[in-house]
Amino acid sequence: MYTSELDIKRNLIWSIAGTVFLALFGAVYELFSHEVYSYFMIYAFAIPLLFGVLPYALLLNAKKYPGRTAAALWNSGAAALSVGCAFRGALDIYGTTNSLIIVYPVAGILLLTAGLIAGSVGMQKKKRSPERTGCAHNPPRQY
Amino acid sequence: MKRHLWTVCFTVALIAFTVYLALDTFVIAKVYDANAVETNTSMFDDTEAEEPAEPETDGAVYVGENSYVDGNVSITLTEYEEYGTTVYVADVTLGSAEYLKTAFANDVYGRNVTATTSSIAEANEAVLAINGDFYGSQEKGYVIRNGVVYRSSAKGAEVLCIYADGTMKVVNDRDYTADELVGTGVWQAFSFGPGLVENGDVSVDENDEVGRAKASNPRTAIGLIDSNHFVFVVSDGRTDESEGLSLYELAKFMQSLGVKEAYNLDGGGSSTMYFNGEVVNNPTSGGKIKEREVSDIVYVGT
Repeated sequence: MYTSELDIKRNLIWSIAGTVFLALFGAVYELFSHEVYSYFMIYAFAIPLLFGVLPYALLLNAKKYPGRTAAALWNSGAAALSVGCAFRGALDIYGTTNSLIIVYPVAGILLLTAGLIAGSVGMQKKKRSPERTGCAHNPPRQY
Repeated sequence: MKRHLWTVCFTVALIAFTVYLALDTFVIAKVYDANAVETNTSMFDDTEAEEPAEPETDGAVYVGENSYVDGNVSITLTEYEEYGTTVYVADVTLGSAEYLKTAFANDVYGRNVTATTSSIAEANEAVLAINGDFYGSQEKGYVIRNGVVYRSSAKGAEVLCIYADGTMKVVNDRDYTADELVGTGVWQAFSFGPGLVENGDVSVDENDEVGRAKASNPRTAIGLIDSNHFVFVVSDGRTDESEGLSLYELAKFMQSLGVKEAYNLDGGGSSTMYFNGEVVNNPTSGGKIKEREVSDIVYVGT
């Protein structure tokens, strides 16, 4: 089953929304932080931008559609990194630490890697089956 | 539904973990030592101060509005107006550094165990107290209190060491273990920083700040004028009346008091000075004038 162009557009929109949300969240948080600033909070928006908006825009432009599984894993990785980045910013601003914060980047990188692998496998399967149109809703016609 | 199953499950897991992490960081109390009142005074046995500064008194106790004097301790409180900020300076002369003590909130060494500076001071019959380094918000950094090592994990930061001979020095925790410091006579050690004045010279520049806080803030600092002659300094801030101090301004002010060494402790809403039974400054917390609960204090007691 392959992700349709609609799915890619949907992921792109969600990524844009996540980018805008984190940009605003970071700005508002810094506004009330007594001018204590954290690069993690300020630049948290860059995670969904680099791992969401950019790749999905490129995929849409290239008309390449990875599998739904790949997209789900990749989005989860980007979400973990985004939340982790913002949370680390909050800890920095408060002036505290917690070693468990390491879970976010570890999970994020693992999920992104799994998404890449799943996407590559999906792309390879698609190349080996050129008669497939790439859309589960339009199987090849049988005469 | 099946199509979105992974998304739903992962989102729930991510939210649950984030909520747990927030509770673990800010709420859930962790007790490492439920009765952290031990004192190790062995370092005072062979101690001779360089030039012991003894309060001039016949042993009687005098308590004035801005002063306290007894046979072992002399304290004078003065208010200054510097950089648009009210600064409170307690000039402290001790018969021995043994009277410069520390205490934990509720006598518990742990994380998220806090109480107001005034309540900790009252519980320990402190004459003068300021907030400490809020060790409980950090997972690393030396914690040596009343001669006892509570945490020996270094974080590569400047540590303030107050010695049994009444002197004070800022060292880097990469250079010494906590036990080595106690072995050299360290009575109290704090891990917040940075050092403000070293050998009489300002050791921060205008771009140095704590936690990238470049603004003026309430501050707490401790300085050494001479052996067993200290200054405890607390500034107001974040109010219309008092803007607060940057680290550089704090360092310059400490230098103007004539200190040889000075060190920055936890500031912001934690900055509190307690003297003769009352809080003398205006601590701000959540936009209001009220004490923040802290994990430890530095105090003078007899």
